[in-house]
Order: sequence, then C-alpha cells, then structure tokens
Amino acid sequence: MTTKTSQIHKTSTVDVKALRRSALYSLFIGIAVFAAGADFVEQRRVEPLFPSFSLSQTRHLSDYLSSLRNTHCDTDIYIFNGRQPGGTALILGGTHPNEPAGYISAVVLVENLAVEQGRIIVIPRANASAFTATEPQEAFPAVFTLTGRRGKPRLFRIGSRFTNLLDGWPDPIVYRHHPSGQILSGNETRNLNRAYPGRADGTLTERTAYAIAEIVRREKVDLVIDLHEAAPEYPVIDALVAHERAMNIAAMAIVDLQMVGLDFRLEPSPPNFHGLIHRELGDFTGAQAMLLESAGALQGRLRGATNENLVIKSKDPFYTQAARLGKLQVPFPPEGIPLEVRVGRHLEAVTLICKSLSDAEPAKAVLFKNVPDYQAVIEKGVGFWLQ
Amino acid sequence: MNYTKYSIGSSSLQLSIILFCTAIGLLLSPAYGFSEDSVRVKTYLQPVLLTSAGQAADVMILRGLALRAGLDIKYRPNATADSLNDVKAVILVAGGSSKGLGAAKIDVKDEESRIKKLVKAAEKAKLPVLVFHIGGEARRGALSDPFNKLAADAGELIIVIKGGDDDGMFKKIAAERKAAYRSVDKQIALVDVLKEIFPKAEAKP
Ligand SMILES: [Zn+2]
Repeated sequence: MTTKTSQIHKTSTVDVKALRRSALYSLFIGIAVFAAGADFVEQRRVEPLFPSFSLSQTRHLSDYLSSLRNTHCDTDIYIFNGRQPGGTALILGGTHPNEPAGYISAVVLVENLAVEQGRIIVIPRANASAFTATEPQEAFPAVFTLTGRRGKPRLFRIGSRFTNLLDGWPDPIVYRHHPSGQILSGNETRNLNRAYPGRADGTLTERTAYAIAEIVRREKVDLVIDLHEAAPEYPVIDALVAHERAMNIAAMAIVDLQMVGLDFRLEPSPPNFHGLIHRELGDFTGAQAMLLESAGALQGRLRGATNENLVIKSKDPFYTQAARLGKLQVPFPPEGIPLEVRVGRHLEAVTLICKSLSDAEPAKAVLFKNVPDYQAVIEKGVGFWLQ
Repeated sequence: MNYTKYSIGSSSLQLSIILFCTAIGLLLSPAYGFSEDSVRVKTYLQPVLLTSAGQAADVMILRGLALRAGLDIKYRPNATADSLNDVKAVILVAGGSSKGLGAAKIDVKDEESRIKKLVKAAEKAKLPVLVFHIGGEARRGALSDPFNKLAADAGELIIVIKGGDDDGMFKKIAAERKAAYRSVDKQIALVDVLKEIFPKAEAKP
C-alpha cells in the first residue's frame, strides 16, 4: 500500500515534470516563431527619411501605374522644383538594395537638396520589394546604422538584388525580356535593371520598370541617373555607363570629374544587351539615360566576414590581397573603399552630370545647391549629411 | 617648355653659363634627337577635325578635354575625306571598342577602310595627323591594335596615356617613322598638352 502510494506519487511527479518541460518547449518554440515572425514583418517596415525643406511634393510610384498600389513595389517619389524653369532629372537609388552606396546617395540627395533651376525627382528605393529580403546564402546583415548630423542613429535596410521571391514566386526557368525577346536566367525576372522598358501588365518587377518609364514620359524627364555599386573585380566599375545619346554629357562630366581628381570610366551602353535602364530608357523615351557604378567589397565574391563593418568600411583583407596580386579592376587600398568614398563619388558625379547637361543644353538646365561634394562627404562623413 | 632640367646647380658661374648655353643651343637645334620626356613644341592650327579610329568612347573624352582646353574642334565620329575641307589638322583617337562599333553599326573592316581613306586624304591635303591613345591597357589587344597601328602609322605626333604602351609598340612606330612621341600620365594632363600644341586656343572657363 505504502509502496503503491509512493509509486503513484512518483508517477504524478514525473507527469508534472514532463508537462513543465513540454510547456517550456512550447514557450521556446512560441518565442522563436514570434521572433522570426516579428523579424519577417520588421523587414517590411520602411525606415523613415527626412526630406529637406525644399521638397515640393511627395508622390508614389503607383501614381504612374495604379496596379502597383498596395504592392511591395509601391514607393515614395520625392520631387524638388527649382524657382527657375529648366530640365528634369530623375535620380534612382535602390534599384539593387544590396548596393548601399546607391541607396544612401539618393537619401543624402533627398535630405539636402535645394533645387535652383529645373526639377529633380528622386526615388531612393526604386525596387522597394527587394528591400524586404536579403539574398539567401549571402549572409548579408539586414540593416546597418549611420549616425545622423544631430547624433541620432539612423538605421538603413540592406536588401536583395532581386524583387522579393514572395512577390513573384516561382521564377520561370528562363527570363524572356519584353519586348526584345532576349533570354536570361530565370532569377533575372526579378532584376529591375533587366526589366526596362517594362510592361504595364507584366510581373511586379516589369510593372515597376514600366512605372519608372512612365515617370520619364509623363514628367518629360531629360536626364536619368541610376546609382549602383559593384564588385571590385567586375570590369564595369568606377564607371559611368551612358546611352549613345547621353555620351556627350557623360564625357564632359568625366572630364570635369577628372579635374577634381576623380577617375571614372566612360562605358557605352551595350547596344545588344536588353533590359538595362540606360539602353531601354535611352531607346524608348526622350531622356538621356546613364548609370553610375562605385566599387564595394560587399558586392564581391572574394569577401570575408560580411557584416555591418564591411557595408560601411568596405575594408577586407582578401580584397587587399587581390589588389596586391593585380586581380582587381580598381585600386583597392588597404583601408578599403568606405561608404564616404562611394557616396562622395556618386554625389560629385550627379552634380557634374547635371552641370554638363546645363552647360550643353541651357533650356534643360538642372542646378541645385546644398548637396555635399566628394570632399565634403570625405571630411564630414556620410552621417553628417543625414538628419 | 620645361627648362628646369637644365637648371644651374654648379658653384662655378662659368661652368653654369657654358652648360646653360649648351642646353639652349641643343634645344634650338633642329637636328637634336629629343628624349621621350622632353617637350617638342611643334604647334598646330585650328580648327581641328576630331575622329575615332575604332569607335571607342575615348574620342568623346578627348572631345571633352579639347573643349576644356578651348580648342576649336569639329567632331565627326565617321569623318571622311569630305570632312577635311574646313580644318587645319586632324586628331585620330586610337582604340577599338566592340560596343562603340556595335552602337554605330559599323564593322571592323569598314572602320579600317574609312581610316585608311581619311589618312590618305589628309596626306594629300598636307594636313598634320595627330594620334592620341588615351584608353590605356584596355585599348590594346586584338580588337584595338589594328586600329592603333593604322593610326600610329599616319601620325606625326603620337601621344599615349600611361599604361597604353607598356610594350613600347607606339614608341617603336614613332621611332621608325621619326614621329614625335609623348607619354602622358593622366588623361586630364592632356588639357595642358592640347593648349600647348594648339597655342591659339584660349581656355574656356
Ligand atoms: Zn547594381
């Protein structure tokens, strides 16, 4: 009897323990699921930008193609009008959200621009969906932090080269570009810079490209500049890629950039490679279209630890070694190619390209102030130019 | 002109004067063989026809540099003999580009034949041909070198940006043809070079 009671007692003790254990497991799983879910939802939260006082208007990409409304590709468009009439420039960041220099340069423009003549339209997150995920197996950090002018930490998202797979699953085996019929690998279906001139009833990426082309058409954009960042071993690097109609202005800008000590390669837009912004907007719209590449170790295959430090400093021992072996397309100093250099180059180039346009075609002049030049970004850092 | 290399550093005044006079004498002597770095200031008249040999974008850069140097240039990407009517010199920017040829829808053979005809016509019209190779190593190799050679074979002055003549091809052609040869460090330095060889040009602000 005594034995039985103790046995019962024992059993019930075991049950409570098991119950506790499974409750604990459930709790852990619950927390994990909740954390992952929060993380997932968090990736869709758009970090706020603080436009300069001279912002004239904010619009949305869906204003140019209504089917983008309530999709992850709808995004803010910042319009800055000058007092004097002139031309219109469209500047894109975040075509590839894994290339922070392009995105951050566009943000610096939005937060500092004061347009004096003509008009500037900035889209900092051209492929907004691609900001909602990083690339599988690349180990990119999801965010990085810069300290703003007033000491406020500013968090910026790193995304993927491609539209989020959840916004376009599954990829076809091959991607057939519209309208050329050019065939690329299936995942390029989600690459905004392979989707131009876009298609109003196409995939989300094609519709995004179409809406951007619509801005160019409806707003009579004269100049398009798309801001990027690429691997130091990639041949088209530290480069200005221009459509043949834009070569004149691009070449003058390159000479002026050389005068301030910045070397850029002038690369003609390949005539037979379709989907690229400079080729298709150059061919299908009246704008002079070009693309700027800066060099970042984050983009490369040789990189080591892929963390926030690499995003900001772009300093990597493997790249230093590759440079020593002469395997890179750009100089890669041991101190890396920090964000200041990449953003500074972009901003100086944007300024001098606009100046070139203004010199060559005064009726299309786009002139602005308050945007830091290369030296100012190097001296004060990128954060100083953020609110 | 850079006289600094002949500067007077000796304590002996007499020796200095002798050296100085010798230097001046050598510089003024037409028979003197100039070294690669010394500056032979043969000058040319404007307007200048600017065209490419190989359709590389370098010609656009040179156009920009020439504009910043204040040159009166006539840029004709597909210049022919007819383009020579109103100019006093010809600049050929050497280097091939498949993208450039593709964009202009010109094949290599046509481009080569255009350059040959243009050079012949310039010779006939007694117009000086100046050759610029400004694209560095990227404008050497299988596609570019036939254009580079065609151009260099016609130039009375060959100017190469560093990196474009590591194997000495241009230098050798220049020596064989007794053409002037200059190696320049950076593209942007060509603004001053252009001002120097086209002295009537006034720099634009
Ligand atoms: Zn990119």
